[in-house]
Amino acid sequence: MRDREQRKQFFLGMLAVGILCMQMLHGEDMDTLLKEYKDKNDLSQRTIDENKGHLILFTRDRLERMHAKTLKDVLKMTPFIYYHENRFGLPDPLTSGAFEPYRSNFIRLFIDGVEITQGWLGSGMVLYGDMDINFADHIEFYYMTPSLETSVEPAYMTIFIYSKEPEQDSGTSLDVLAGSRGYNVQDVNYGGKENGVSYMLNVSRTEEKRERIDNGTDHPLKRDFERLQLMGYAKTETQTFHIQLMQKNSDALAGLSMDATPEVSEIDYQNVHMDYRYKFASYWQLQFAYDVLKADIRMADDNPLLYSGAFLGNEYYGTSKNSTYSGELTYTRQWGNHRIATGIKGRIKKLDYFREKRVGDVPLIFDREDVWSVFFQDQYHISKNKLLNVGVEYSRICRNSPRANDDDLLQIRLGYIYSGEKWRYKAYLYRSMFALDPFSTTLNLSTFNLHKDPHTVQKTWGVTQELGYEGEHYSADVMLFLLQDKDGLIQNGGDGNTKYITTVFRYNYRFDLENRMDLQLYYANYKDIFTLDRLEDYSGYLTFSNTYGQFDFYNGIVWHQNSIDDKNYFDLTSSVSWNIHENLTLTLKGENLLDKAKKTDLFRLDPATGTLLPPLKISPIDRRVSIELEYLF
Amino acid sequence: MKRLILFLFLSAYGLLYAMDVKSTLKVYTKLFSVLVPKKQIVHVYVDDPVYRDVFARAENIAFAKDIGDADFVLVTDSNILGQYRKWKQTHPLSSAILFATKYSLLEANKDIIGALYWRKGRPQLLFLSPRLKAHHIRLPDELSNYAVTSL
Repeated sequence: MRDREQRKQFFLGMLAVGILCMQMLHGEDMDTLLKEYKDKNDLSQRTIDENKGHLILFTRDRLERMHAKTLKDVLKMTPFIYYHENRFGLPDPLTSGAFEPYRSNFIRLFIDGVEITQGWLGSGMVLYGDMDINFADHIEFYYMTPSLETSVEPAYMTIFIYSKEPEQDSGTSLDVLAGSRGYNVQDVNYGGKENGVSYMLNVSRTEEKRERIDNGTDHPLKRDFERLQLMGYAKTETQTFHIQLMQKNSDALAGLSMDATPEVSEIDYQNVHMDYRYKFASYWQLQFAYDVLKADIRMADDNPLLYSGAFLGNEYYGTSKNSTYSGELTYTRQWGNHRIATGIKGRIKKLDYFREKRVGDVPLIFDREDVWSVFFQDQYHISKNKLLNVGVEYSRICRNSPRANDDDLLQIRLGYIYSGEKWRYKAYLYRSMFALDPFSTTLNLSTFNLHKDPHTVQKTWGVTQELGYEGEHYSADVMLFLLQDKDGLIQNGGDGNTKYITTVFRYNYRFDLENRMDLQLYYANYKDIFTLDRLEDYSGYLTFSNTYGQFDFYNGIVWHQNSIDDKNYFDLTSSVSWNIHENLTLTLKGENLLDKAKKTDLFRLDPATGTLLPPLKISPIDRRVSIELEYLF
Repeated sequence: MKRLILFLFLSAYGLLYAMDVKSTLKVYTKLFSVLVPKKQIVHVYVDDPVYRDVFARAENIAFAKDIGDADFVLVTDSNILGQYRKWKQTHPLSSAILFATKYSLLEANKDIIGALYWRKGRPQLLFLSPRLKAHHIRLPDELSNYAVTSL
């Protein structure tokens, strides 16, 4: 009898709680519910891993509002690195503008969790740094080596691009774009899901017509290119297959000309990437990836060329092919409060051939590099909202070269995360080691002071912190990084021991579901970098995204200044989109409208005297107006 | 706490798309309260495993075995539309509410009264007033902004 009474009271209690919940639910208006639905179902919510470290996120909505068409449009707003191009006109955010072939080997690029690498040239950034991102749903940037589960090789910054999913982008989208100087893009995206298999295919063609650079001759430097890009995947609950193809025929800016006055400077690239991932037995994941890059390089000058001048003189017409094979086996499991991840990874980089028109196969003493890694990581929940993270990774780089020894790299990562309802705090201690990319290693670059000792690897120590607050309509956070490089690989003078402090402040205010404002401020102070005792770098941006009826507006300004010339640079981007119909959108966009975007130095040597000429000042951001038509069906 | 859930969630992360249960149920519960107001338990016909996984967690939602038993049919692809058309031929006076998860489906069939779908990273809610009228549904004022007279 008493049991029945207790059950009745319990039932009535539950009913009261249910009615209260229903009333609360009815109390929430649809706008609020849709906002929560949008935030929680954003695809980034499935891929963001707070344990990976300090995150800069560009959601799908934000990418759409910015009308970001290439990775370059996003990189130019990413603090620490921003977007720069090297003397070959290739994306190289860390370039110093001097004579090193490539400096951004330490920025690593992943698509859907798998790294895109160019093997011999190092990071996939070299070709994919300005890729068409119409296939992408969102982009995550993490500083330093993120969770050791993902990286085969150490990274200074890791970029994760995630593809659109058919649940939110089924059907076909057609996108055509035309702009200043004849710039034009055509893009098709098709996604669907059938019988438990999700698939997507994106094909784009870009004819990039860029501003010419006056080099004091009748032949200004060119950096135009034509690119055909294909991205596709098919996946089930346990398996994924990706394919990416790229054909890029480009003008290579100054190329191998010492004084930036080339007679010919062109490079064509063909790239294929394929990967397969299989999750099995609940805790295991097996992954293979294959990357191949063919390059057709055509360079000529009236003086001996950089790197190859002593051997080949004034001309270099060569082709090369390099292949990269990557594999990994990882095990991840939750044991009580511990989430353990461990695994082994391997990568083989092979130079298949290197041919020059006149001399045929160029004999190289270095044509293979193997990287083997083993890692262990424990994420321990101290309490419901506190987490400790410990990770160690050991890598061995084996080279078949008498010029560069094998290297042993040890990465250590300690982290603490507090995550409350409104406040969050993260602190990390990093010890990272980096090695040069194989191409730079094989060149004898001591002439250009690229690295004082080819047997040395760079060590970077870092202490990083982040404090964030999430309000009802706004969020704010501040990051503070203290870093020190020892035996820096690419020094351009100095002893390679660089100390630096960087801070990033971000503030976001959401007026409602359709209107928002974003602010970012960045300050960095470097001691002993390049040939400078001290370098101070300031930057920031302010952007507004607004919707009025059928019209979407975006206005953003990116600002840069540094202590080299104390000059202010402004990159103003504005766009207006007219949503003519649910399926049809017309957009007018202007980039670098003030023609005052940040410029970087391109250093030049006088071939006769060997002295430095005044550097060319080049902005990687063209001034451009474009019109875009997008049709969904 | 919500971030703790995220830590744990990632350990079970599969390769296919999954929806957030809580926020999705909140939106659909609100829709049911307007579209099928007299039902304490709403019988939903849905085929898509992603939505079934979400609705299975709700106490006020039951799965209908057939379209004929449903108060609410969630149209996630053209196969469901085919099933509905076939069933409608033998039951022309059917009063089930059809609701879509894609704009193209809303466009393709006049029996569908509205849709909650994604467009460029933003959720869109749309009702068609004439179709609501045919089902004698009157939207409350707070939802009237989401109604249009034609596509």
